[in-house]
Amino acid sequence: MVGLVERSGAARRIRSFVTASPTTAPADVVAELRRTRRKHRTEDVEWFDLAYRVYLVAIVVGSLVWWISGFLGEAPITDAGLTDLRRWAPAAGGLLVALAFALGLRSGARGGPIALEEADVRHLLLAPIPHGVVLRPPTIQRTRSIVAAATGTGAVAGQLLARRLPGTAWSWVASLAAAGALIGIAYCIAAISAHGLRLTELVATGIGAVAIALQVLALQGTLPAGPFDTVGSLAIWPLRVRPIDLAAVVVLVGAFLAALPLTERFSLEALLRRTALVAQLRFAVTMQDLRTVMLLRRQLSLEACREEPWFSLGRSRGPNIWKRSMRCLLRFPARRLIRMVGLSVAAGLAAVAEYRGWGAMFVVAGLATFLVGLEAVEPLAQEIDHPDLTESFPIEPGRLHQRLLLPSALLLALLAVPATLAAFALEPAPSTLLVGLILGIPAFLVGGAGATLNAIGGAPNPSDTQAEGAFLPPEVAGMHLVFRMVRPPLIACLGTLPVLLVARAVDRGDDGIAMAVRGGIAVLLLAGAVFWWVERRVAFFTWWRSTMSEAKQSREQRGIS
Amino acid sequence: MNAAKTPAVRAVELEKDYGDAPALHPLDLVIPVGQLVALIGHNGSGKSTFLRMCTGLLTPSGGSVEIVGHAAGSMEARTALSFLGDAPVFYDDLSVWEHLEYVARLHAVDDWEQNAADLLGHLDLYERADDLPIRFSRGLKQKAAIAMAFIRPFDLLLVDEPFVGLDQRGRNALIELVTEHHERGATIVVATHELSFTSRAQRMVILAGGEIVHDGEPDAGVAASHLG
Repeated sequence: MVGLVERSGAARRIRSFVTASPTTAPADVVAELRRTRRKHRTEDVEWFDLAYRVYLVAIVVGSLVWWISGFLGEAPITDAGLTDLRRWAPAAGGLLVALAFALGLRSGARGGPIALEEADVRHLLLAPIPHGVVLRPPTIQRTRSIVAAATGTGAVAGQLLARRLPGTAWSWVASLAAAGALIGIAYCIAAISAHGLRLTELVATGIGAVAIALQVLALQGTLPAGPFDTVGSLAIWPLRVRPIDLAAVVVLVGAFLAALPLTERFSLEALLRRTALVAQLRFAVTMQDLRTVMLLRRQLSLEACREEPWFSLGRSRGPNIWKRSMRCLLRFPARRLIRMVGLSVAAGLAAVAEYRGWGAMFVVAGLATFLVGLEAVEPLAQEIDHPDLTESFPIEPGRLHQRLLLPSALLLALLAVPATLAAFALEPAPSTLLVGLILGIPAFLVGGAGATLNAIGGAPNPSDTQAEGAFLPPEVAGMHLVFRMVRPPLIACLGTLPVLLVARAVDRGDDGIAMAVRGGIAVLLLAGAVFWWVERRVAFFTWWRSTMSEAKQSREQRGIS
Repeated sequence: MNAAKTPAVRAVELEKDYGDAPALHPLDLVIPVGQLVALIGHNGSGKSTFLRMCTGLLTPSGGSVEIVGHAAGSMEARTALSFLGDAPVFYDDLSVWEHLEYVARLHAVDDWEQNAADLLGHLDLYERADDLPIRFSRGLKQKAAIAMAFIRPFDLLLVDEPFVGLDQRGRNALIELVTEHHERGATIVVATHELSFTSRAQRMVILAGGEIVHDGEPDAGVAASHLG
């Protein structure tokens, strides 16, 4: 057993192994090490702490499901809705599989789906053991967790949808859980294959794009069926059973088993790069440090700024801070800009779904604008990342931060255009364009406002006794931490709520455009308030800290007297 | 294949770039069996990149490298090659002794215990054998990494910046180990900034900007002129 060998003492007599003999693979040593380490980890587990964490996750997930279920309603779906569901669900479900497949391909091209410990790469993968022996177990473990998460999500979706659809709750839970599991497997197959076949990111993205395009064409009706329709069809078995759908299970499980030997061909370089970054990424997630997560994600995907800006501002005279911010935005790589446009389109599509009665989609639309905002406020985030430089400038930091945001606001306003066009594609009426811009520009600005709050807030610093919330009693401090985390995306989500107001106004026969203008103004005021806060917050916190400090001194003096 | 003539390392048109930045220009290098080579150069000259491509940790952008006649990273190459990297890497939850047992047994060394004890004694680390190396100082970590590199059999040892963080006794212990293994026939390549080591080597290769600018007898003057 590892570590239990009696030692005879330290003599100065080193045996020299000079000639290495090829060895048979001691795979059992690897298995034994893993058993020993598992035992070590189990010994270190704080079971009470673990139980408490499970309890917290259950509470949060349960609350979330309950909250979303409130938006879905309980009214049975209409006959027309049911016909639409039967017609479009296979292609729509297939589109989810295609998206998972494309994401998996990209992950694989970047060294996914697994992230090993660096020690495993340096010691195990450099030892004379077949790489497959080392890499298969973690790959299977990763697949298991992804499939479990996807199955759980499918089951929850089934439980929620069952309230409005015919059929028993259990049948919906089972069919959507099965579809979820297959989506997870599709992701893993794509990732393992892309990594094992050493696909470049460009090729992987290209294949993923083709899969998505075929599925979109099927959804539009241009193609009779998409490549992943059977998985979507499996999801609606409670409406009608098609035994041929089981072929999806056979094909995907078979493809997974066929892909597994490709682990033997995984790239050590990619694994090593991913190893270091993923460890930091997990730490940043633990610290709720979204900015660091973003930066590490960019490193993971080798996403660097352009050497040359898209166009040069030259030596033009102009406001210096404005130019600094513009220079940052003009160096955005193409893939970041494409991602932002993609998120904008997603926000537009979610807003249409929200307008059509799926109220909970305001969260999806809001989160999309928040993610766009996180990218767009990069000039400000760069400044926050380098406080030493900021402090050395002869300008009040709040004022500097505020001015850096102006080009970002311009970019965000422009990004409302793809969202509006996407909405127009689904609701082709002139009023869509008008309402889209009236609501879209403020929504994206408030998405940027949420991102700004995230950037200026930074990661929580447990050792900062002067921080916001440091004087709160412990009973409230936890809630304060949660609020601090949730506040930025929550504000972004508020920006997409007026779509619901417009939908209700139209239902009542009121003027939708007038309601859009009122909603847009309210959201703009919210964005303006955050913009104002960016400048004033430093002064506010200085005042707050001095007040608290005086109060503390006063208490101490009273205690002494 | 004639084993006697097979070099320990054969790099042909070997190159590496990281995106736009070339780290190693096409490089040809043959290191015969049994040679002790000092690979020197400034930071960023390509030393570590070259060594890592020999181990298989980095994939070449072009060309190829063979270790005792086998492609770098292949099972045979991994059997023959021991790598002591510039940054020691350990498992969080294994002691020094457990690490040594693990590495030795991965290389099918059955009677490893006495040798592990001797190595640790030689490196003044015996008393810390049951401690977690992850909590060690930089110097002690380096000593533990040295023990791990020598606990297993090898034909070729690649060492990257081995003296970083080591005290004088540690340096002497490492040099003794390197010398002893070299005398017994192992091929050893040591990448270092330390010019004092070059006098011990049989051959000196200087890299600058990813290219070989000198390949020949060790010469402190030549080395100093290149490294400035």
